[in-house]
Amino acid sequence: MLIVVCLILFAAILALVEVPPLWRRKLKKEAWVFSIFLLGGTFLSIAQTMHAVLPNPLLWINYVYTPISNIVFNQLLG
Amino acid sequence: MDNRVVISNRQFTILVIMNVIGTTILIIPSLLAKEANQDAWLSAILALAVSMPLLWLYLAIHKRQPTKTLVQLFEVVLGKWAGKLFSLLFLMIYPFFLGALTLRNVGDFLTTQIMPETPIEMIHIIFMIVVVYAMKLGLEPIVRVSELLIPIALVMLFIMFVSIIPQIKAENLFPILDNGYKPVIGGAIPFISFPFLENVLFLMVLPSVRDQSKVGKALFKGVIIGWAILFLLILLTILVLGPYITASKVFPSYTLAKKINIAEIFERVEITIAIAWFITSFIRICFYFYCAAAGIAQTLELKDYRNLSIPLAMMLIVFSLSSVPNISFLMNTDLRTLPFFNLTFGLLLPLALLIMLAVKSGMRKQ
Repeated sequence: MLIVVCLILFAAILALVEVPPLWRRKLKKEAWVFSIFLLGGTFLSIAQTMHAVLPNPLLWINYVYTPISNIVFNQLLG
Repeated sequence: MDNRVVISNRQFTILVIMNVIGTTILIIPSLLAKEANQDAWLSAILALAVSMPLLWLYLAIHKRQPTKTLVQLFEVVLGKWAGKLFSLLFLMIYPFFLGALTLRNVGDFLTTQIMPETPIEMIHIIFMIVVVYAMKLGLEPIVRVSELLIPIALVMLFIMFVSIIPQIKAENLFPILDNGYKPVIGGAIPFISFPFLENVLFLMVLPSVRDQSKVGKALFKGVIIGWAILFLLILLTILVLGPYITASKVFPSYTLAKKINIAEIFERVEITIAIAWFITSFIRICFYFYCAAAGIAQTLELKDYRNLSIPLAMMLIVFSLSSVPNISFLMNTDLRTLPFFNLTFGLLLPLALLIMLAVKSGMRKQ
């Protein structure tokens, strides 16, 4: 739990440091994009520290490309 | 983006060299030897021969719209909204994910070979702090630092190559083509994919190079120098360790560096040599990270990509940890499926892009 609190604190401090200058310079879109990415990053980090099962792109890659890989490596070069 | 980055041709060549060597230097001898055994060096030559036309393809795309980066080209081809959506998807799938895999290579190397009791998370976080610091400064400082660090990396590799020469056993290379040509092709496939197909991402920095007339030469020079270093390494690994030990080690280059022993005085230098691949891996992760961050900024038309670096780094660390359950899974993916993934983005996508650009400009002429 401690690490989750630390992560949220870190994200909050980061937002406090980064967002107000952007807002003051009228860079509203930049501020929004930054906040969305920060929210996503914090969410993913918390999920990872709690050992949640996250979507795994490498498994998708394996799933999509295994048939063609089998054809090339087992049939053509086997 | 109004604050355009400009890098010189020399810096671009160095960036290409660093990126080609990258983390490839750690694992490529093992990947090649797994498939091609003692003919791994032939696979390497074949890989270079196949990669040269790829560079032509990337340069042909660049010549059509020399001021536009890869994500801006998607917008030209697909229209505003579809282009933006596709760019975001591409950035999250390709440079971002490759950065995560590269980081994982570094983490795996450190935890298995050098610091087995340190949690991999800490290594990733500390490495990314340095990358984020570099990113906050921007691309120009990154290329300047690569210019500054490349002599160190090259000297380390030179010392390694020279001091391992006494242990060469020529019989390790024979018999040549014992199992026919098929394993040679099988070995070339992962080497073409990693690092050469990933060169498509240089389309992100090609518009920033100062002397556009010589940009092709700079790219070719970088790739060939990087390849030559990797080729020497593969050849020496096979010559010294033999094909079977090379294939069974995950990081044969490190094993090779451990073997250095001149008159029992000059030995145990492997960690000093390893500085070379920390430098190249660092530049490679910085480059992928820059592609992802700058690409997102260009797609969403943000003024600055730099403040995205900390949130992106958090995501990168999570993906590098969560998507690779263990090292053998990653090795198997590198060998079997990642080449085809890279082929999709490194060959099919640029080909489609080039054809669509040609059709577009043809339509405009009529």
